[in-house]
Amino acid sequence: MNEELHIKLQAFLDGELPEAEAREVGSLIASDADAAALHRELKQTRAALAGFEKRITVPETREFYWSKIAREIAREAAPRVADPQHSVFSFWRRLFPVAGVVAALLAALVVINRYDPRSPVGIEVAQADSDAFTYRDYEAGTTLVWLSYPAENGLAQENTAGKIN
Amino acid sequence: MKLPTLCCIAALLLVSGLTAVRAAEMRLEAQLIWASNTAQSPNPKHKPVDAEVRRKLAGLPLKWTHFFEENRKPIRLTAAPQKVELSDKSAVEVRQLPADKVQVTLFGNGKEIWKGVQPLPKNEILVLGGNAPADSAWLVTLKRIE
Repeated sequence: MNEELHIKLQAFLDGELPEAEAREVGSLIASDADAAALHRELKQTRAALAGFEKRITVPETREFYWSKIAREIAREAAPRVADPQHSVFSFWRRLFPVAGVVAALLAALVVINRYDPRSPVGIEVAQADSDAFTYRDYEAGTTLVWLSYPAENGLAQENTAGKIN
Repeated sequence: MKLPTLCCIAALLLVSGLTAVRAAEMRLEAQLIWASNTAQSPNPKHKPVDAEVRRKLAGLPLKWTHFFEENRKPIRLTAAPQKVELSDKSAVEVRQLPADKVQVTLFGNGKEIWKGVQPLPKNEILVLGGNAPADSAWLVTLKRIE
């Protein structure tokens, strides 16, 4: 017995099948022993449960009860119309404290970072070497500053005697 | 809690966090390097630079192909400037500034030859260099470790 037939038998018992389909299922119950047995079982189960269902009652009549629910849904779905007089002031009241905090944050960042917009390459030279040049390899994170310091005064010792060639 | 109060608390936390970052200790490593086109240095104290430094130097527009480390000194920065001698002719002084910046002063033969302020985030390198005799060069590198 497949699930589809099981569902149809249940629907037949609940009176939810269209007329043509109900006639079909009725014929099946009459001709098929399995279908008849299942129909009997479902019928018995239904009867047993019906006796345990507690009837729920509402305080008002059915129509009045549901109309109350429908009105409540419609009321909550309706857009709130803002009071034009109060909305402008309430907006500015919310904005001023936030704007003040943002301004304070920016001031703090400037003081802490001492931002200097005149240094696009990120090097500030206090004692300028006019012949020095700077190269930046952003990918490798390397900055080269090449100085025009005289070669004869080389800072590294290339020979064991420590003398300059 | 209302939005303005939350914004004030967030602002206080952010400012205190930035202040804490400013005060964090920096650790650097200074190296004195001799650059040449010869495969072997005449100075037996020289040793080839490590692979990371070689890779970084290779990305720079330098004509030299071989780099030899002459000296290496760690630098732990605090509020006061730190000066390290890299050779009897060179020294470097470093001072920590806010926002990952350092002020670097290079001394050559006892005299100040360069001073600058440079952002130096972690793992980045500042290279100061100049020509040396016999078509070679000297390099002073500052690498930020922490």
